Amino acid sequence: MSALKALTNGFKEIPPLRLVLGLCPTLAVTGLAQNGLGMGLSATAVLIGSNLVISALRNFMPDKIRIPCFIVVIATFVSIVDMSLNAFLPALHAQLGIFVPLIVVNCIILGRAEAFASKNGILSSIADGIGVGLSFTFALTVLGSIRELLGAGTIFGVNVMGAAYQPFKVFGFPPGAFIALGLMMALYNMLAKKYKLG
Amino acid sequence: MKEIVKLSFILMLISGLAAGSLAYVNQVTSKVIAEREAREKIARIQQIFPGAATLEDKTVEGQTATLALDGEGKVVGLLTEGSVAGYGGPITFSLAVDGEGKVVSVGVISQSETPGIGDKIKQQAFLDQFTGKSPADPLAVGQDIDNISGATVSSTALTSGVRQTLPATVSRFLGTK
Repeated sequence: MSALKALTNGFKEIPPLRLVLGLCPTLAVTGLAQNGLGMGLSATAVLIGSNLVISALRNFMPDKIRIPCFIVVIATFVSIVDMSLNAFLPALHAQLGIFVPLIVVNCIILGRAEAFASKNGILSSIADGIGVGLSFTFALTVLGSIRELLGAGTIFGVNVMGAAYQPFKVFGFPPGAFIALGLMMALYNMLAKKYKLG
Repeated sequence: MKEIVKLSFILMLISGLAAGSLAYVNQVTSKVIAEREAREKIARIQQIFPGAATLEDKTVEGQTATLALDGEGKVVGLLTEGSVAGYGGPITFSLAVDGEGKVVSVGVISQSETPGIGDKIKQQAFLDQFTGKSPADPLAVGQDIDNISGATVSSTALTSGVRQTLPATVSRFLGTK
């Protein structure tokens, strides 16, 4: 499979909407658009790194212990991202908190390792990581923007609704996450049906 | 048997590589993180003692305190912890004292008092009563500290903890004043 095709195929996955994977960070950190973007990019960095290494080692890793090997590789990249965020973007690190270490158990990353990187070449695997990562980031940023817009009247901290707007506070909290995600899924399914994406 | 050894060896090799790269990243980032945490600590302490420029940890007779020094090395205040037996277990509290030996603030760090009754000692209105007290004050419930109704044991315990810790802290870290 060509690298470009892997990238576009990866992007089409839109993990939280189409695969319905990775919902824990999707619901938990998307109270603000900025946090959604930060979480998405952190997961993308881990995904590209783990796809690269797993693809490079795919012939060296015996089938019987491939899952422990995947976990070690993923955990390494998560720790690297966690330490780097703590050092260079402390404000974002404080906002995301426990959800950065929890990328380890994010099923999107293990899923791509198992379903793609362990069967394909290095270039395609990197492209797949970029594609899936960016579509995850895209979904989280859109969800974060919707929740921030409705819950606080701002997007990326910029007030767009004006002072008279009375925010729906619920969208800043977990119930609002479920409602907003449900609406997004419905919209996605409707569009997918209309344009035959599925 | 042979296969298990081979599999273990491969997993060990991968883990070893992972450990090596983590050690490298940690070495790079830990310095940055430590510097930032030191800066944040100073900033927090400056909210209590505006003149603070540097910090120094000091242990005297088993008690540890963080001294805040101004630009000329004079002590402008210190932070320490104390512990006293409460109604439901030990109460640990923080104590901030200025350079004159007066209490700046008292805070409850951990306690296991009765929820809803004894744990009212965490209320700011109660804790604020300690502000400005010096070792010469009586620091006694019924005299210069009002207790919390229903939580006499807990509030008396915390008050006596401050009464015992304050003079000791002042004489250990600020000289006898």
